[in-house]
Amino acid sequence: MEILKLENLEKHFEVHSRSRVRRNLIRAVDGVSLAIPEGEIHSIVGESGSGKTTLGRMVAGLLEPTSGSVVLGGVDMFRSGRGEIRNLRKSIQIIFQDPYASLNPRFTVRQILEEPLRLNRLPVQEGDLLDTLRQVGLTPPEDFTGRYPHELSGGQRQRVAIARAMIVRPRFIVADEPVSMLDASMRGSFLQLILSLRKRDGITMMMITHDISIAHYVSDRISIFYRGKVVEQGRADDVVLNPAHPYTRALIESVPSFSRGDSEGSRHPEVPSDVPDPATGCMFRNRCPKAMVACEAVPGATEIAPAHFVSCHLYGGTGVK
Amino acid sequence: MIVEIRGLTVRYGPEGSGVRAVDHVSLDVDEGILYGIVGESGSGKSTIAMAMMGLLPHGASVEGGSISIDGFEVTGRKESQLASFRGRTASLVFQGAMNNLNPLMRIEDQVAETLLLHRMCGRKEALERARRSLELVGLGKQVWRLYPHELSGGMKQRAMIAAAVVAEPRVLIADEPTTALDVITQVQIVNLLRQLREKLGMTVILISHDFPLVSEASDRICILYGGKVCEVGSNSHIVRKPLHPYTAGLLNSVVSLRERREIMTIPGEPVDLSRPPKGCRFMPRCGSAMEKCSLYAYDSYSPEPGRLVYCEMYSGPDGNTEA
Repeated sequence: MEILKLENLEKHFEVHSRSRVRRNLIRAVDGVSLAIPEGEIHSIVGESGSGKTTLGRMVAGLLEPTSGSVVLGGVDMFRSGRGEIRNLRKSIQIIFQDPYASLNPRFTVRQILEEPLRLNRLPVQEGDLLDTLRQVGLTPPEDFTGRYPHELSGGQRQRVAIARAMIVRPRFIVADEPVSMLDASMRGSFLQLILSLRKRDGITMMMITHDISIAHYVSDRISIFYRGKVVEQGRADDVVLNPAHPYTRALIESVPSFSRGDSEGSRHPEVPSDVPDPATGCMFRNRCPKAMVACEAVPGATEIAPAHFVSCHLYGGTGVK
Repeated sequence: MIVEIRGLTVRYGPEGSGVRAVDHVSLDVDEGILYGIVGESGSGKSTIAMAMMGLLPHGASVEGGSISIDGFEVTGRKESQLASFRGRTASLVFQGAMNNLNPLMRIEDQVAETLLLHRMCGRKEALERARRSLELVGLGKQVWRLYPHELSGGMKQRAMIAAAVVAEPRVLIADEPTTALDVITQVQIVNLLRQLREKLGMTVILISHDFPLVSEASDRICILYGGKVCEVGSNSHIVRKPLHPYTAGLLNSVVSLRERREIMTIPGEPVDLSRPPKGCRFMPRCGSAMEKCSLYAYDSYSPEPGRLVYCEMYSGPDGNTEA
């Protein structure tokens, strides 16, 4: 059973240009459909400006879409009664990127964890609070309840942010770049924490990240996001080991690695990064080494292998999904 | 040796208290190489970069040691003496530099500004050299007369590099030049730094928290932790056979796309520089810690030629202490 279902979700922002007459429309999220089954971790991978954070904010209910729907546990988040939406809020939590900015500096860890319970009119139980801290690896929990955020390291703060999300026992968590502010040496334990919580509590998660290596490490499925659209989607291993879309390939080739070390001749990615976006058709075509005439039309999604979708004319792209 | 740093110690805050962000760091950089410095937050890597330029922020001071760049001693200089050194002997590309462009100036004018400030040539020649420099970093004609807001992040970073190298400095220091750029653009900036070394024979010092990225670009690598050097060696030595336990831990904690393996984490918390542990700073997190590590005086050992490691494990009979 899928917990989250996005249907043709769109968010457009209007930008006033200098001429005042002409208005530019930024299609931050442009027709995204996806479903996340219970207990899965689904990563949205994209560069800055791809619209991935806008997508996450809509899924968390923080931003109203221009059109399309976000259905969580069968309830349409933007078209239901207030009571239903209030109930929905309990079952969805978000973890933000910056653990230095997302925790109230004047709250102790205890107050930080109690707040979502109070807001959702749930009982505050001491045992629960300590258990949650223990689960996220802040042990012994009694040592942490009285501390303020400035007394914690970046890794510990991000654990508090997870604990705050977990304490209301949500059915779904949106994590927006949860590790990008953490040092490499702290990152691993955080990712392992996410994996262990999934294993034990079966949480469903949408993780938003620019780092495809991290997405590969934690997720079941990956959606590659480019200029507001999903260009490739599939099982994490399929997308990373058999990338089909030229953008996914470029992304994977660009990831630095030790195995290629020794500074033995530089790599020349075929993909230029400083070209303007086309006004129509496939948004990647001005950068794409394989662009052709057909790319002037927007490609549809094609299933190239079981549950592996690509939106690219190289694979027939006119297909329907 | 074009860069020689000896026992550099930098303090933030008043004498007797405050924090030693860089503590007795010594580095040697050969001319014409790409030298990588890897460190996590709080390792002192940016402080070293700023000290090398004589650009330490207010409240920070060089407590001891020396920095010599192309024979010029940077520490203890007056601002007027540093002005002619910056840009001509050494240049720095900052972290997030693309946001440091003047929004009201055309790109080519900003690049030419360095030459005009140094009174190295007249306006016409400055503009010509600026355009050559922009071309060198891959920014063609159509970009020269644009304003910063018309450029992408990667193009702005290229423009900053063009401004840094226009006066043909001997040493280019790039502090996190790729942070905040997209992966595809990152590779291009790193390739550009390598080309500058190859085409102009420039010595490039690349500073980053991103170990794989540094290892793709560098000839030699220095690993920093908590304001101290852990080890120095050739790229392949460091990556294939790390000597310091911190280096090994860092290598294992990197999530690799190409080989799926368990990532290991370095246990514990980063060092609190206001209360550093006695002896080795990494000891509280180190799996190989011994009793004598708390007495460690940061002697360097050279168990193999061309390598230096600051770790008590190598103090045995084969590790010879260097002066």
